[in-house]
Amino acid sequence: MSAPLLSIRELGVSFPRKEAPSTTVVEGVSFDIMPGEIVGIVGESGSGKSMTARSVLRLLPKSAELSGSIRFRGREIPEMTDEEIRDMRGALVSMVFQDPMTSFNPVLRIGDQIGEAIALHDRARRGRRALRDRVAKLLALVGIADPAERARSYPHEFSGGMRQRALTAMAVANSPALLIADEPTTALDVTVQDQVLSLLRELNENSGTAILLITHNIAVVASLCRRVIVMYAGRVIEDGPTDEVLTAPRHPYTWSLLQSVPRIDQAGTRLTAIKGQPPDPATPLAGCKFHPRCPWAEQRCGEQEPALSPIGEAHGVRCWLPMNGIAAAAQ
Amino acid sequence: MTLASPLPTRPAWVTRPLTVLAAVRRQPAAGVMGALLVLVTILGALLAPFLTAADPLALGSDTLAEPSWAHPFGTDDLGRDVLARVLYGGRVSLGIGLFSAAISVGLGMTIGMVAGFFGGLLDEVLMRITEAFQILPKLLVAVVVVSLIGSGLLNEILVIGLLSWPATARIVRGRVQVIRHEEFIAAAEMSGAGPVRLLARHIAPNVLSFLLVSASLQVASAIMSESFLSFLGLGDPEHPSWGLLLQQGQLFLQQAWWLTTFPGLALAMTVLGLNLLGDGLSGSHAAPARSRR
Repeated sequence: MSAPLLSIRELGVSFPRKEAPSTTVVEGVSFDIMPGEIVGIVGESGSGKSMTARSVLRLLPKSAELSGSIRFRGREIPEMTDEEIRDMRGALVSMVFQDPMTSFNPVLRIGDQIGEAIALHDRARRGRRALRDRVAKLLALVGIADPAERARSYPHEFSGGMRQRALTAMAVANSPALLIADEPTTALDVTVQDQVLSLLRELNENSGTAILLITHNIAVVASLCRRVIVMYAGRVIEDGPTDEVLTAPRHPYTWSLLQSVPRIDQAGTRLTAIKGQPPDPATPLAGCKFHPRCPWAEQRCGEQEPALSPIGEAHGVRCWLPMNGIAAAAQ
Repeated sequence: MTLASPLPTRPAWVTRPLTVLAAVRRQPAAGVMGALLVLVTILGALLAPFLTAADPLALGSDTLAEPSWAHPFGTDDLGRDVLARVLYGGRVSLGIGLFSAAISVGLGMTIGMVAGFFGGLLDEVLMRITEAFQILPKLLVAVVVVSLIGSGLLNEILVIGLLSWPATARIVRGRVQVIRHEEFIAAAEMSGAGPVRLLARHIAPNVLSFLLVSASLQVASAIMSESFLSFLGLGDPEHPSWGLLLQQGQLFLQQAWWLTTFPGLALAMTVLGLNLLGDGLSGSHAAPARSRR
């Protein structure tokens, strides 16, 4: 197998507090992304998926403390100088943000903002006209009609879907090797969601851009990702091929999560919600972070935290009592 | 896949003036009124040589003459034409107002943006300096400093400008603290923009619209400060401003009402106009700020 594009080991993000143990929002997260791979991260709000993604670009809030290792093409991101990280952002690794409404500066034209992303990394220093052509090409690529004219529009003149497309155009302007998409479809309606997802798939197929897709929408993961990482309370609790994880989950949390997704072939039955609340990151919890909500929890689950251990080919689970996939599916 | 809304078929050179016109019509009447008053004073000052043939500094034999066709605003104790002195005085008053406001807004904006953006120790230090300036009794210090370093247009501009930036700095700092947490700043950072670029290109334009309001009020306040200095005899006699005209006229308050009335009216009109304009601008900027999302 070739070398991973991005390799995260024992990543931790915490917020120190005065006179109290610091709040840990991400702990012990490890995973790899291969060149050209599409990996999904799912988890509920507060599970640390966005923080993990933002760590890769070092876009965490100032007060956050980062630990562990993030290697991009073999280089340690936490050790890079500010200048090196700026050279990397937008050129090698870029990000599509969750909310297309607030991700554009309201007082600058769309085309100028995309152009800036190009010009900042433009070694050839192309002229204004070349830049404008490139912006129009990018807008055309993401399916915006009349791109040259629309580049002169201000963000408020674009609809939500158009803005998300323009944002994607900006993120891929320099053909990055890795695109991080933080809930790129959450703020969009269903038809536009579908278009944005096809756009991501095309990008992946045509330019070999690896994509890290963060979402809480399991249907999106199922349609786009070959691999899925499930996060809970700042930890990776399951990591494996999408079809395996979704049809035969090995972690009780993944199983419960799938049970709470509405399914059209089970119309009329009640959805099973997961009982209880995710743990508060400010108060330390011994053992497996899911044990208070887990129907199968034993004594040791509350005492010692399991490690993420391999359970199949390219499949890992952080559980003392991994579920038997077939039995779970039958339940 | 046609997501684009239908574009206006009229070319930009037709639609743009129309949008500007429509925008003016949506403004509150007071703001438009203020803009007109300011426009009148600016035109009066700029077109002074075309509005009167008289020289504001030329002495005449006809002293303390009442307003007449030859001297619409009358003459002063040295026979100088008051209309000419009011019109040319507008150049001095408005000029001092504009330049000192430019200094105070420029300085206030820079300090406020740096403090608000970087935060931390730098913010603490800059804000303590700002507060130190803010607690100074502005006019008193201006009087002392001008009498020490001497009167003159440049000195007046510098003193007024350097004493009035704290308010702007504080407004800008607060605004920048909000803007720097907006997602579009993170998006620009994600594209690889550094701090200077973020401030100059992404934050400054968002602050400027707020500053328009503050700037028009700054001009008004600077004109008032200058009049105050001139009225105390600290003005530059070679470049008579409205304040200086008032100071010279008050000696003849009972014999020649026209010496103080006309410069006083000009001053009141300008300051009123600038304040109305500022209110109008703040009203019209509140709306887009709310409808941004």
